[in-house]
Amino acid sequence: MQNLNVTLDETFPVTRNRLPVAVKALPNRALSFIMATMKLRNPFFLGLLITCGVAFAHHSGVMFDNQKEVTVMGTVKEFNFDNPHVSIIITVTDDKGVTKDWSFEAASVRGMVQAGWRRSTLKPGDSVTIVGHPLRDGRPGAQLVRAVLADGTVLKNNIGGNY
Amino acid sequence: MRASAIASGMSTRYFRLFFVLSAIAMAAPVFSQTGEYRPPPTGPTPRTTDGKPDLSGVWDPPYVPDMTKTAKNQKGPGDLPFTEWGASEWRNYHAEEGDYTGACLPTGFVRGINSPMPLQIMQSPKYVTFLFEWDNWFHIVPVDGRGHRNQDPTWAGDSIGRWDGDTLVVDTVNLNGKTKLDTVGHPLSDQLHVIQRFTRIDLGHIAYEITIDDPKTYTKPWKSSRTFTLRPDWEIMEYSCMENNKSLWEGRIKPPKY
Repeated sequence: MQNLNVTLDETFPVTRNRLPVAVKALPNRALSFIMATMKLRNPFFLGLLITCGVAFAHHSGVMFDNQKEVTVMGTVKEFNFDNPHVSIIITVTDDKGVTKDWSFEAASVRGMVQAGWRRSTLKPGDSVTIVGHPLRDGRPGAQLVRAVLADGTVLKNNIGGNY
Repeated sequence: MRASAIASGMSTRYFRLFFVLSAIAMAAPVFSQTGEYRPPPTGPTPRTTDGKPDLSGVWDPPYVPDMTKTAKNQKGPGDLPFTEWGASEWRNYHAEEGDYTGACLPTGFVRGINSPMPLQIMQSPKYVTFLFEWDNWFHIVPVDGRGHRNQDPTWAGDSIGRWDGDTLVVDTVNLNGKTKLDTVGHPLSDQLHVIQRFTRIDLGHIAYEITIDDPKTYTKPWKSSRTFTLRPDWEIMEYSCMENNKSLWEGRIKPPKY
């Protein structure tokens, strides 16, 4: 339990510090955009990037592996803008046409509003690319880190901040 | 939607659109409940008609997931003086095996103040009332000179308040021991006695100090202190805790065992 690493740092800048210098020089938004638009053969692109710890107010975030990031592209199935945690469920189709639902857990409604999200940000059918800390048990779920909307807007989760 | 289709659809046109939209997003007017930093109003400590400091307002307490730590607006004691029982409780706590807050049970007074969500204080000559956004939970503290009531232990405990000069001192006992002090799970027992001191040092700030006195869990009392910031542009939001509690329903976290 003492190993639960809780910090108030934002995740993304820490991730950047572990990237090569040439990539680090890019602005946050540009970097997110490039990551989101890389030509990925497999939508389950696993970015093994070292990030800082994560704190959850409503419950602890220990079921998520905050040392890993997964990037998933898909279509919004549900966007629940409700407490205790906002959730996004997206349907992902692999190269063989097989679909799988991924469930992302985010901050509270207040936390998401403070990070720029609204109930109207996503609706079923929207295309979205989501980066998250995957569940440790291997199920297709993750804690939201950030989302790239169809128009390129990048919205972050309110991890460890004021939510 | 195929990943390759999304990727090939992106072009210079989207890059340009992206930067235009970014510029619009950054220039958009701020929403009243956003987390952007605005300095609180300045001025002297406001007072009620009876001359007491007026603690009323919507306050932004720093999020304290670990009370032992020292960080911005927060001072903690570092290592804790655990008793043998307390150390065992701390070692054996694993949030994924069942934390009461994951099941939307009451946070408790201490963990409620440690939460990152705002807190509204309302004050009258006889009562000071704490309205928490988290779980939309409230706690009423009489300040009319009465002593502790002799009642069954509860999640909230029994609080009484008194004025020590310009500081409100809230003394709480009779807790059921089912809560934790903070998000990381520092333990407490039904012998917990909490002393909280609230001093409105100026218009925009409350200096807060909490003493944890729990002889079953800790060999001696210890303290944590912080500063709350006034947020005149905020209101307490509705918080319906079980509405979207998928982590519990879908088994990623477990209900607590009592």
